[in-house]
Amino acid sequence: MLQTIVNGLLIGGVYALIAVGLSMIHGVMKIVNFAQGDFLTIGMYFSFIMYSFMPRGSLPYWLLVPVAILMFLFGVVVFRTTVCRVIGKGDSNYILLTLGLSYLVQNLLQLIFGPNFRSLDISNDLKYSSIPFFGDTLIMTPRLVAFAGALLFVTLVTYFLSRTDLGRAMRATAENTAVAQTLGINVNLVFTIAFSLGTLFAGIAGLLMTPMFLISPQVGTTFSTIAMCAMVLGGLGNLKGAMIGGIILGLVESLSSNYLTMDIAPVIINTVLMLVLIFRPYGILGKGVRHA
Amino acid sequence: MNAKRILKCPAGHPIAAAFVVACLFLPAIIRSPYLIRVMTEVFFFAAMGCAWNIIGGFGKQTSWASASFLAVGGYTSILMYLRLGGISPWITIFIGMALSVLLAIVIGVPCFRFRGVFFAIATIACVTIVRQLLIYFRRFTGGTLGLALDMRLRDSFVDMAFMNDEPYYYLTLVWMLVVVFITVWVERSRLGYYLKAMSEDQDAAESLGIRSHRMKLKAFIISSAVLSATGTLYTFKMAYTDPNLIASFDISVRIGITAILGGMGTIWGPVLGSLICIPMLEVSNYYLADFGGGGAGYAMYGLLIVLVVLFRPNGMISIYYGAENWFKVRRAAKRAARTAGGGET
Repeated sequence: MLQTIVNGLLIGGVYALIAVGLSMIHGVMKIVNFAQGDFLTIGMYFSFIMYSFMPRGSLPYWLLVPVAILMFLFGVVVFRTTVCRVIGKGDSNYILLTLGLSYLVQNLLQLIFGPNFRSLDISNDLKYSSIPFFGDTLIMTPRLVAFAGALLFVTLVTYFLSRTDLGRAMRATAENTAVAQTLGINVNLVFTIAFSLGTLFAGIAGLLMTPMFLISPQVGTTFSTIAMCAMVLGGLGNLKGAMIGGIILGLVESLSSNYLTMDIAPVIINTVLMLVLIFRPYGILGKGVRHA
Repeated sequence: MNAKRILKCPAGHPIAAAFVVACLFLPAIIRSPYLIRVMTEVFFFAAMGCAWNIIGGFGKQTSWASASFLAVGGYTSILMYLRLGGISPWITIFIGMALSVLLAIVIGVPCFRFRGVFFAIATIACVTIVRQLLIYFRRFTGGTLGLALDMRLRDSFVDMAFMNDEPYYYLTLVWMLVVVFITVWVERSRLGYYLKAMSEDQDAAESLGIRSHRMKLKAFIISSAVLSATGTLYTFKMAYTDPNLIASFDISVRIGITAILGGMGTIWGPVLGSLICIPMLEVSNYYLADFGGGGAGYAMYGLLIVLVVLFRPNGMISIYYGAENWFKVRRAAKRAARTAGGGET
């Protein structure tokens, strides 16, 4: 029981990271990125490629910075070429565009890497290492590192949003784009950075997950759904809520796949989402503002 | 509607009429089972795209639950056929439709109260739930292995089982035309005008007394019923079904793409989209199957959708409308020039 909870909590941290990225994008430019999970897959493949150049047995976590930079640049390119054209043009436009992107990314990855499952060639010492925690409970090190990494990035972005000028500009843009623009904030720049940060978060989550999950082109879809659930659970655009939502979903998933079966876990998660949509559409924290 | 009015309405366009006539005689002219099978697929996706169009195009509510309705229709019919001693699919098609309508209400009632993205997210949740439940109850539904009908050797209209491909071809063609006429009917009904008004400006429409959530729900219900019936036909045509074939999110996306590519909110757009998508996929599956890791056809799908949303938001059919408009303007200009010239002499 405790083991299941610990596992769920730790993986929930990573879900939280993806959801925070998604929520940030939605908060600033009112767009839900349906391709978030596939950006995570791209992060996984970036890690996979770069890791194959590293000496055998080295830690994959050294790739944190290069993957982050690559994902940020990738986000800039995607935003500048496609997403920036659909901002403020109604819901169906961005929904269709980002889903098209998701479809494109999945199948391009399959085209390049094939449909097979791959994994990083890391040593088993790291993969299965664990720290005794409480009685028989073990904390798997990769999960712990992933959780810590996720927490670190969420803390960094919270600091960034509340303490730096760019962060304040971002919050102002999220509050009211038109007013922010009249006050001299470069809204385009803010949008680009917000989107790229969201992408970066997805990519980092991908890297943190590679020691635990197999890599395949379609793996992102699951995480897309989970991240969206977490975001809605926490209230759209609410970063703290997305964080809590992610952790809750990690717990729900871990408990349901442990006590029921793996197949039923997505059902439970999505049922939670439906219930939240029905009863608390503005999130469990309930502070969401109705943007409409 | 008398003949003149049908011709006047956009569904009665001469090109569309020519297409339908060509389809009617196609099996008699070209005796290729492969072509007939591909065209059957085209009609299926055209019908699904038209059904999606009712909520996604007219109502501007992007639904990704299409596959769930297909699955509800398909699985209801096939399960009742297999487990309850061969009840004719012509009867169970209606049971499937009723169940789909129920599902549509369950999704629609909470989600249409709010604007924006809630509905899209809820439909994705729904499609995941339905697919996973079909996999989970494997003793009943066959799980990922699916269910097969062992009846291709019988010719029986009651069981919707035919030995050749032609009956399926005509059945699907007729069904596609029925769906097209349903969309015409929706577009020309009060509901259609309400939906159009709401997609232009929901606040204005509401202030004029349109109960927007109810109208969206109506459109969603019609769409779901049509999709469910299509699901039954599809399942009995394939004589097989499994969650990946009929219930996956992928299928929902493909249905949406068909309609968007052709032209959202137009009558013949989804048909055009299907005519582009399915042959493209067939060709790329044939020539590009071994290219890279596979999936080239689907990658093209994705690329097309991105390009269409960015550059042709009204779909491929807007190219035709643009050309038609251009000719009209030019003809009018010529006529004006002639009358002006005549005035001088």
